[in-house]
Parts: sequence; C-alpha cells; structure tokens
Amino acid sequence: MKQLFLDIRISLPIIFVSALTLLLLTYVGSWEASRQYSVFQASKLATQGEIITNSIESYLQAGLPINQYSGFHQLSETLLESDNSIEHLSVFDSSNQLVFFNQQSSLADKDKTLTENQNTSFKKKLSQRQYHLSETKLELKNYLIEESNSSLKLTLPLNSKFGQAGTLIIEADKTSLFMVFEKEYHNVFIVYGLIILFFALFTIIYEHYFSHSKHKKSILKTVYALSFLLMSGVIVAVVFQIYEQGAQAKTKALTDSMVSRLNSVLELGIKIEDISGINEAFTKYKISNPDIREIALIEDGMCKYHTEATLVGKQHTTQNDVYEYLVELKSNDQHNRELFVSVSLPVNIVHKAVLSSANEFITLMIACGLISLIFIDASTGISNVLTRRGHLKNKTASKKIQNDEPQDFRLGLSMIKPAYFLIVFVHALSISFLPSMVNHLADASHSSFATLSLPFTLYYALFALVLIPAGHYTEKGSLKWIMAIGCLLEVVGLSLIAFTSDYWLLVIARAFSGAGQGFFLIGLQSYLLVITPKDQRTQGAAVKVIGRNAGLIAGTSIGALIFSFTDYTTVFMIGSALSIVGMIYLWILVPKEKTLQGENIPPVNKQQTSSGLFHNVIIVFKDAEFVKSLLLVAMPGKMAITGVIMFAVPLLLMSHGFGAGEIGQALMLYYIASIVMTHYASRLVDSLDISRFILFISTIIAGISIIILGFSGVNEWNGSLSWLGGEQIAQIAILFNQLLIQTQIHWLPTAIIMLSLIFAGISNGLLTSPVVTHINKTQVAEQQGVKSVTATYTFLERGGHMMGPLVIGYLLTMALQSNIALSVFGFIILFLGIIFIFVSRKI
Amino acid sequence: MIFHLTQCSYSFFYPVRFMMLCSLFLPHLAIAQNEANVENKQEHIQNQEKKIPSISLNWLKFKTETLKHWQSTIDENDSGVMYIKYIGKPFKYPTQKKIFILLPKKSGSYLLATEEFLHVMEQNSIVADVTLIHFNKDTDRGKAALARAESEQADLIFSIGSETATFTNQHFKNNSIPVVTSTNKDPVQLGMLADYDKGSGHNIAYTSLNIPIDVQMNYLFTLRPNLKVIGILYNKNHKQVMATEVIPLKKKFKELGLKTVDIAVSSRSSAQKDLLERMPQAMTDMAFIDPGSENSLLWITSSTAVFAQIVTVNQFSASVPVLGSIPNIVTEGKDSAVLAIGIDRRNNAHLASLYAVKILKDQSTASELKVGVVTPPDIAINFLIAKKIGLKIPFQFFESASFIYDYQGQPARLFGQNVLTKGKQ
Repeated sequence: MKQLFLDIRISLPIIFVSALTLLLLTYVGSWEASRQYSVFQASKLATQGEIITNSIESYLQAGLPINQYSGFHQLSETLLESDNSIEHLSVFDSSNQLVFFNQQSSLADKDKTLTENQNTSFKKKLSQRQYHLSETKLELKNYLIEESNSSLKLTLPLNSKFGQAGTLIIEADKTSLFMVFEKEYHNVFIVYGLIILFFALFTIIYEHYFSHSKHKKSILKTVYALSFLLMSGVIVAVVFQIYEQGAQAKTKALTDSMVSRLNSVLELGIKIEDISGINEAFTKYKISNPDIREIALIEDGMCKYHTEATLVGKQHTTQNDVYEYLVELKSNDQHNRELFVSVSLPVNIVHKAVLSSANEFITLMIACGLISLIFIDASTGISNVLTRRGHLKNKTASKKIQNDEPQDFRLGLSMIKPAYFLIVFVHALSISFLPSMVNHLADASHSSFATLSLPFTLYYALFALVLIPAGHYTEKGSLKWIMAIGCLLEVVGLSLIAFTSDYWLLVIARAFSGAGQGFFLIGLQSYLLVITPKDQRTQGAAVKVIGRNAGLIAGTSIGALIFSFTDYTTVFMIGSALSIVGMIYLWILVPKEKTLQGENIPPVNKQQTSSGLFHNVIIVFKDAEFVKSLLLVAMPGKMAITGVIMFAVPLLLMSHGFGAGEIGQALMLYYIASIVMTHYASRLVDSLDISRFILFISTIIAGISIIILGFSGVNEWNGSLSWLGGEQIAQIAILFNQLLIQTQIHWLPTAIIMLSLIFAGISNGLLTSPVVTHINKTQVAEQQGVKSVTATYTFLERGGHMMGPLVIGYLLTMALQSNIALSVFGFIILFLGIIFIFVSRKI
Repeated sequence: MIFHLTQCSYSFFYPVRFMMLCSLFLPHLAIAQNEANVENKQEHIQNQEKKIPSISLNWLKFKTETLKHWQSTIDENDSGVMYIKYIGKPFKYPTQKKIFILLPKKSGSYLLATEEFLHVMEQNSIVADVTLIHFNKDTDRGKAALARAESEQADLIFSIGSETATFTNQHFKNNSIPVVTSTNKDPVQLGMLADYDKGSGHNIAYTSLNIPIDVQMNYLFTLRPNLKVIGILYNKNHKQVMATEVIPLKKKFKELGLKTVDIAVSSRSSAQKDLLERMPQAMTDMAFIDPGSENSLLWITSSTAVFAQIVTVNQFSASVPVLGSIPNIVTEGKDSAVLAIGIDRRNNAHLASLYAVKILKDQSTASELKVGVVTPPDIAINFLIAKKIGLKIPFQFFESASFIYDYQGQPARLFGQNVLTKGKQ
C-alpha cells in the first residue's frame, strides 16, 4: 500500500499537467464554439427584430410620428412568447426617448401602458448595465451589437422617409440564449473528466507495474496524445451539434419574418393572387440572407411561388440536405386552402461554420499540443526526481534507475524548457494586436514624439543593452537569479501596460519587458552552456529553439484568441500572472546549475558567454567576410523579423479586415515555416557546405515575399518615396493588383498574403542557422574561437532586431502609411542580397 | 427536420385612435376638393376683370392640438399678416428664432404645411416667433414682406407654395437670410437649380412635391415591365404641371422609345367636356399601340382640373390602369384611381420643416442642402378597382403603401395603420 501511495505521488505531476492542458483545450474549444454560436444567435435576434422594424417602418413611411404606431405590443408579445431568451424589446425615438417597451412576462407584471415611472425605472435598469461592443459581426447587416455581462443587445435603426426616426432594441438574456450551448458543452466536460480519470488510472498502474520500463516516457506521451485526440474529436462532434441547433433557430426566425410580411397582405383581406412580385420579394430576401437556399409559398402541397423557378407549380418536397421550417399563413380563403411558407437552409452551413472555425481549432490544438509536450516533458522530469527520491528512501532493489549520470543534465533541460517557453509565451501573447494598440495610444497622446515604432525599438534596444551587464553577472552570479530578474522585469512591464492607457507608460513598460527578455535569455544561454556536456550541446540548443518557437506559436495564437473575447488589459494581466508562475516555477523546480554540473564540465563555460564582448566587436569588424555577412544578410534579415513581421504585418492584416485571431494564425504560419526550414537548412548546410548560397537564397526569398506583402491594397501612388523608386514600385503593385482582380478569385489576395508570410518564414529558416555556420567559418572565428565570435554575432544581430521597427516605421511615415514602404524595404533586402553574392567569397 | 407552426394573428381595436386617424384622414381627402376649389376660383378671378381677392387670413384656422402650443393673432391693420407665438411648455434647451412664413394664396394644403412646420419647430425645441404673411401673389406686397423680414433680421423664411418659391427665387436669391421652400413643384424642372445632387449654392434650400422622373419610371416599370404606351392626362394651361410633370415624362418616354398619348384639357370648367371628347380617341390610339392593353397605363398629373374628373376617366379607361401622381386621387369607393405614386403634401412640408431646423440649429446651410425629395414616395392602392381591371399589385408597393382600400373600396390601411385589423376585435 505504501508503494502504491508512492506511485501515486510520482504520477501526480504528469496527471496534473495533463489535466491542465486538456482543460485548456476544452476551454479553448468552448470559447471558439461560443463565438460561432453567438453569430447564429445574433443573426436570429436580428431577424426577429426585423419583424418589428418592417412593421414600424411601413407606418413611418406614411410620414407619421413613431409614438402613434399602435402595433408594437401585439408584435412584441408574439416574439416574446415564441422565444424565451428575449428579455425585452424597446423602441426609442430620434431624441432617444423610450416610446414602447415590452418584456418577458416572467420578468415583470404586464402593464400595457408605459407610465412615466416605468420609463424612468427601465432607463435606470438599463443605465446600470455596462455594455461593450460585441465581437460578433453579421454578414450584410450593419446593426450595433453590444454585450453586457448578462445580455446580448442589438440596436436596429428605424427609418422613415426623412431619415432615421428611432431605434429598436432587442435584448436577450445570455443565460437563456446560451442554454443549448451550455447544455451540450457540459457533456464535453463530462468526457474530459472521464478521460482524465482513465489517464490517471493508467499512469498510476503503469508506474506501479512498469516503472522500470525504458519506454515509460514514450508510452505516457503516446497515451497522452491519444487522450488529446479523443478530447479533440469529442469537442468537434459537440460543436457540430451546437451549430446545428443554432442554424435551426436561425431558419425559424427567417421563416417567421417572411410569414409576418405575407400575413400583412392576408390580414387586410387581400388575396395573395392579387399581389405580384412575391418571387422577387423572396429573391431579395434570399440575397439579404445569403444562408437561405430556398423560399417557397406552398398552396395545398404545391409550390405557388418558389425561388427556384422550375419548381413553381410542382409538388413540394423536402430535400434531405436542408433544415426546413414550415409555417402556415392565416388564410382568408373561403375554400380553406392551406398556405405555408417554407424556408430552407442547407445543412452545409453547419459544415461551413465548423470549417470556418477549423483553422482556429487547428491553430489552438497545435498551440495546446505544444504546451502539453513541453509540460509533459517537465512533469515526467519531476516524476523521475520523485522516483529517485522514493527509491533512495525505500532502497528497493527491484527498481533501478538506468543511465543515472546523463539524467542530471537532461532533467535540467526538461525543467528549464517550460520556464523559457513561459517567458516567450507571455511576450507573444500581445504580438497580434500590439501594433494597433500602440497606434491607437500614440494617436490619443497627441504628441509628435509619440511614434508607432518607438515602443518596439526601445524593447529591442533594452533587450540588446542588458546583454552586456547580464553577461558580466553570469560569470560570477547565480544563473537562476538572473533569469528570475528577467521574469520580474517582464511582470513589471506587462502589469504597467495592463493598468494604463497612456502611451508613454506603455513605452516604459515595453522597455521593462525588453530588458526582462534580455536578462532571461542571457541567463538561459549560460545555464544551457553550464549544464550541457560538450558533446551534447545540440540538445542544449534544441531547448532554446523549441522553447522559443513553441512559445511564439502558442502565445501568438492563444493571445489572439483571448483578445478576441476580452480586452488588452486581461491579456496583459494573464501574461503578468504567467510570468509570476514562471518565476515561481523557475525558483522552486528548476535545479541549480551547480547541482547539475558534471565533473567533466569545466567551469570556464560560464566565461565564454560574454567576456570581452566589446573587445570582440572590434576584432570581428576587422574581418571583411564577417562584416559582409552581418551587414548584407543577417541584420536586414533580423530587421525584417521585427520590423515587417512583428511590427507591420499585424497592422497590414488589420487594415485588410483580419481579426486578432486570424492575425495570430497568419503569424503562426510564419513561425511554422521558419521552424521547418531551420531544420532542413541546417542539414543542407552541414552536408553540402553551401552556407553562402543558402544565405543568398534567403535574401532573395525574403525580398520577394516582403515586396509582395507590400503590394497588397496598393491601388494608386500617393506621391511618396519617389527617391527610393516609390512611383515605379507603386506602378508594379497596381498592375499586380489589377491582375489579381481580373482572376475574379475573391480569396486570392488573402492567399497571396499568407503565402508571402510562409515564404518570409522560409527565408528566416534559411537564415537562422546557416548564418551562424557561415560566420563560424570566417577567419576571425578560426583565430578567436567559434564561441566567442558566435556570442559577438548574437549581440550584434540584436542591432538588426532593434533597428527593424525604427526603419520600417520611418519608411511607413515617409510613404504616408502606404504599404509600398514594405515593398521598398523588400527591394533593399533583394539588392543587398545580390551585392552579397557578388562581394562575398566562398569560405 | 420539418416543423409546423400556425401563426396566430395579431389584431387590435383602439376605437379612439381609429376615430383620430379618420379625423386626420378626412381633411386629407378634403384637400383635393379644396385644391379644386382654389383652381376653380383662380379661373373665376381671372375672368372677373382682376377683382382683387381678399388677403385676409381668417381661413387659416389651426387645429386644437396646434393651439395648445401656439397662439395666433391677426394684425389689426393688415388682415393678411398673422403673428404666431409659442405658448407651450418651456423647453429645457430652447432655441429662440424669428421666422417669416410667406403664402401666395388661400389653400388647405398651406394650412397643413403651416401646422406641420409649427409642430416640427415645437418637437425640436425651437421657440419660434413667426410672422406669417399672405402676399396674394402680389409682387409689391411680396417684396414688402421680404424687406420686412430683412429689417427685422429674420433667421429664416419658410416659403409655402410654388408661387412663393418662384417669387423668392426671383427676388431674394443670394440674400443673407436663408429660405426653405415647401409645397412647391420640382425646382429642377422649373429651372431654379441645375440638378438634384448638389445644393443651390445660395440662400435658398429647395424641396419638391414631385418625385424625380427616374424614380417614377422605376415604379411604372415595376407595375408594367413591358410598358409600351402611356396616356397622360393634364391641364395644358397649368404651366407648372406642364414643366414639372408632362414635359419630363414625355421626354423620358421618347428617350426610351415608348409612346405617349396626350389627353389634355383646357380648364377646370371645360375638363369634363374635353375628356368626353378626347378619351375615346385616346383609348383607341393606345389600343392601336397595345391591342391587349396589358402594357398600357393612364397617368393623371397633379392638375386638379383632371383628377376631379376621375369618374369620367374611369368611364373610358376599361382595363387600362389609371394612376395618379398625388395620393389623394386614390379614394374610398369606386370613383378612384387604382394606384397613386406621389408625394403627400404633408410629408413634403415635414421634410421642408426638418430642413428649416437644420439651418436654424446651424447643422447645415441652405446653400448645401440638396433638393429635398420625400423618399420613398407615398403609395395609395384601391383593390376594388384593381380587382375590377385584373391588375396585380406588386408586393413591394403593397408593403410601402400608406393608404389601402379593400375589395369593397373600404379603408383597410390609413396612414400606414391597418384599419380592418382594428375593427376585427
């Protein structure tokens, strides 16, 4: 029994981390599904509101004042009875005075007349609610959609012949509105519980019987991956069901709206036969509600009118692939003919909705998967520590720890990886929306010094500057301390932004964050060098690459998702909290470097990180090949990352109507392309010794992809950047965009932006490792040592990072904010690349 | 996945409102008769050796509702001048303004326009000190009225009637006091300004009682997509109707390669005789162009002389739909046109009053306001006639119709409010 408790204790970290990551996946699925479900519900409410606005507007068109309309109560009563989620319907006149009001009978006693007191108390109730603009947008319908904590509110204009005469507000209770969603998604949480229970049992049983297995880590990872996939499958299936119900509710609302219009004819005792243009009205309705496949008026089972002309006069049949809703009209016919209105929506609108969420789901699943893998690694590491301690205490001979010595540094690597991941993750949370946020605050500050690029430049400047003092400190001080300082500075930076809307405080905050990232990175580099044996350096480097890229991918996509649900304050607060978690994790769980140093690792490793940096800078600048590689390839490439990808692309995409989530996904494409290409480029360079050629190809791809990115949306030359060939570049851009328009493929411009980003990622992948390899082959590297020159290069490339936003910001200002600035920069990169291939020599 | 649901009807009965609406509607119908009387009188006056008509404003009797908020006094020395002061509840943020209203003649429409103007001022918290002058189409008296407005530093002149619009256009253009015209024919067709898309560029902001010709054509083609011929009924001596309705319509039809048949009368007194003479031939001519009469229309212009003769017109129209450009031509019973597509005078006055508010509150200037046209036009339908001639009414017309008469010719919808629905409960 004692052994079983020990096994449970050993298994707890991995169970805990798995539970947390699967819970994150479940919540991410819930957020995404609720976003799409909101669109269905808002669309339904809009259509229900239109039943009333159509009626009031036909009255207003007669030129009469809104307060004399008498049909509100009956119409609103019908709606309130048919849909319990509608909390109230209100009509305001043009001076925003409440004219009509009706609410659910459950909410108040019905009083048909609106008294002065009711008016006041209702306004008071409304004024107590805090509304914010909803992220939900409706296709082709530009209604104001707002949300409070408890309700979703749509404001529809009421137009008369003389302009807007008032507004109709339809407000629904979120709890009722999302009841179906909550009920269905509740099942996902039950499945989640079962999966975690199964996973926990499996882990404990496995630990109990097979803890000595060599494949323990792989098997646990496989079981976790299967649980992850099962959870994802369940989420998708439930989401499908939820969307289906949303689509049905929308179909019903659309049918009711059309029925209300046709009933207005019958109510006056007029026969449908004496009215023409019903089909045209159906067609217009279909155009304004593009999800509708067919509308028909059915008389005694035959299609009297139908949006599909060939079906008029034929027997009405229901198709299998539609959601159809049939409502009987109030027939005034003496022959008791039955008249029905049928509205059908294709089932594939649910598929489309699922597919439109698919990219979000895939992105977030990748992000969750990355988080899981990193933390599962760490948790197995913790389990190993606990296993070892357990064995030491129990001294049970039956369980042997294999490969004791190498475990030490591997444990360190697997434990430091989550810490690095977290610090990059919190930095990446704001990548998708930070440029537009800075832009907004800079405008609001009304200061001529408040530029868009300043916070970005200062961030990278501080990042580079702290490398020197931090480097000195690492030679003597504690590495965990320096990383903890990094976390602390990041906490300060993120907290400052979270609680301010002032541009200058944001600039200071970014400086803190930059310094924090710099401190952590230098601490990490030293830590990896110190704990990793000489012949295992690749594993140390892998921690940096995986931690950084996984942090960027997961942080960008999850940050964008959180931002689309909340506001920037929440995102930065989460980032700040995670930085604190990272700091605690680092302090408690990451082993001290001294405890991991093997006897065969010389302490000199520490000194290699930064000693004589300034001295080295002077020496490396005497080597022509080093300077050519740095100035013609490396620095422009790094400027492209920070200036184009992180600074300008989010703004560019936002101007093309991309939301924060989509920007996150687009940047993820960039990072993935970059990681994949880094992997293959290193092998190519090592096996074929073609670093110079690869660097040249990198600049060509980077140049072309940035040029094309800059072409997007350029339809005229605004007279700027003529000294850099702005006019000629603009003309090429105009021609390029005209060609795109001629193809009449509406998604092509977006696809080209995405492709350009992927190629920019590829170019970065072709640069990252090959440039280090190339520099390591220079004469100065042979003389001064590879590590020293690499460290100097790492410091100098930060200059590129720092200058990126500055240069792009300057070009954008010169180009009067035209994207052509990016194309100009692309041509500069291309030009420098060509110079490089001519002036550099094979080394 | 099929759901069946029977819609329950919604209907109300508000006897008081219904009575109120009917009381509103009756004076509306009376306008037609009033207009006819005025036009008739005009001829009578012309024939009576320039006998000077009365300038007295005694006929300008406001409704009780208006008198709750406004007090009117006729000038002791000039019965053609009325002073109107706001006496209603004090406003929270009042705007004090001095306004002149100019009338060219006695007219029921002008009374409605004046009341609408006062109502809109009150709605917009404008404490107007109004001087209303009936200038009786007398140039000297009109000039004196304008001079008085200048000397008293009026904030705005509200012009009512086509004659006043023409008069201010001739004698007051480019003055510093802004003018808004109402209840007048199309100023573009009358040559007062170049087009509908730009403001006048001077101190006069215009509105129009006519719907632009392109809009009118759009409605006609919706009703008769293959329209071939239209018979136009008008008073050939009514210059403004000729300039704003007949000539543009004929020109447009010519451009489109369609035929027009003139059915002109000379005066109100000879209208019936003229129609009895000309209608048979006109119908024959139209039948020659469109033998089945399925692509023909008869269009009655806003000449009172013609639309007062609707019984005669219907006598000859057979299955050709008779349409009119003012809503009043569609009335209860069988002596009505089948459809009217035009602008109700009250709505035009409302729009002009809103223009006045914009100028008085410095939200816009007279020079930049485009020609005010009420959109969409007012539609009136008589299903008794429609059924009789087998005309199907477009759903789009039905939905936007302010006035609908049922198969018995009884009011079913008045001022956009269903009457039958009220009566059912």
